[in-house]
Amino acid sequence: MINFELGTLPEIKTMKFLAGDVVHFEGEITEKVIAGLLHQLDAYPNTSRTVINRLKMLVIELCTNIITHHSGTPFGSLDIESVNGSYQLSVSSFLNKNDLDIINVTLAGLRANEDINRHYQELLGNIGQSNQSVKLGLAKVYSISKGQMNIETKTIASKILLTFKLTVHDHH
Amino acid sequence: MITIEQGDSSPYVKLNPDNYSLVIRGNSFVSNPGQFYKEVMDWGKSLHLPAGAQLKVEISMGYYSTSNIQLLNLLFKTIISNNHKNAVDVLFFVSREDEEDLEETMLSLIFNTGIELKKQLV
Repeated sequence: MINFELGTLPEIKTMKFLAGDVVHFEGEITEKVIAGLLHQLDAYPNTSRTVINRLKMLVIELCTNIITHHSGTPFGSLDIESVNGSYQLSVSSFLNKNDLDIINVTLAGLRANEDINRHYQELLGNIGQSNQSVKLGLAKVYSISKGQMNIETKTIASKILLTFKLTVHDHH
Repeated sequence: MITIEQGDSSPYVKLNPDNYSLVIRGNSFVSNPGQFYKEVMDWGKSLHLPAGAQLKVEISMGYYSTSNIQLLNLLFKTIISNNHKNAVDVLFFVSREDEEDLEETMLSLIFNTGIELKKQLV
């Protein structure tokens, strides 16, 4: 259950479930929170350095996206769970319809692209100004998760809640 | 001299205009990299190197968001475009255990600049 009640800023929690360890956060996403999550991931048990690095990069990209594209306070929630040797990451936040449409179009383009690494490089090469948005972040997220990425949406009190669901495996 | 102390999401930055050196150390995922790196960017845009001189950059690798990669990549491209193709030299310091995982970030930072990837493992 996601609680976006204004004024509640729960601390980053780590809980142990039967299936593995869970990192859970919900509240205002700030750069300090991201730094705390990275620190938390350093202590993630029985996990290869490569997986930890991938999870860190995903957390950075998805959470900074929430900070950059929020309207009002950037509330979000994040869960990381180890399931049968894979790692499932869910990141949720509210966004407007325009941003959701852009994400859907961008994701469709990424899925249709056979060489995502090359596509990422093309996007990087197309940047001519520092504030130019070419959806590089979403391409990177898609690349790190090797396409094992889905989005879910639901409407809560006329607001759109978007959840990114990704899977990271412990192999190259 | 421009010195910025390390923060939760921002690296330590030291720019010495007198000897054309730039040091960046740590994570860089500030949500507004344009604002964070403004002084460095403004200096870079107006930089005219003496003949044969280079901007020597040392980057001790941390975790970078794509918006931060984008901005630093643009800084290097701008300096090269305004000076000469060998205007920027970059040396990456990276831990052995993270070298492979952070290679794409290093390559992205120097993408399309002609800068050779040079690493020192620590």
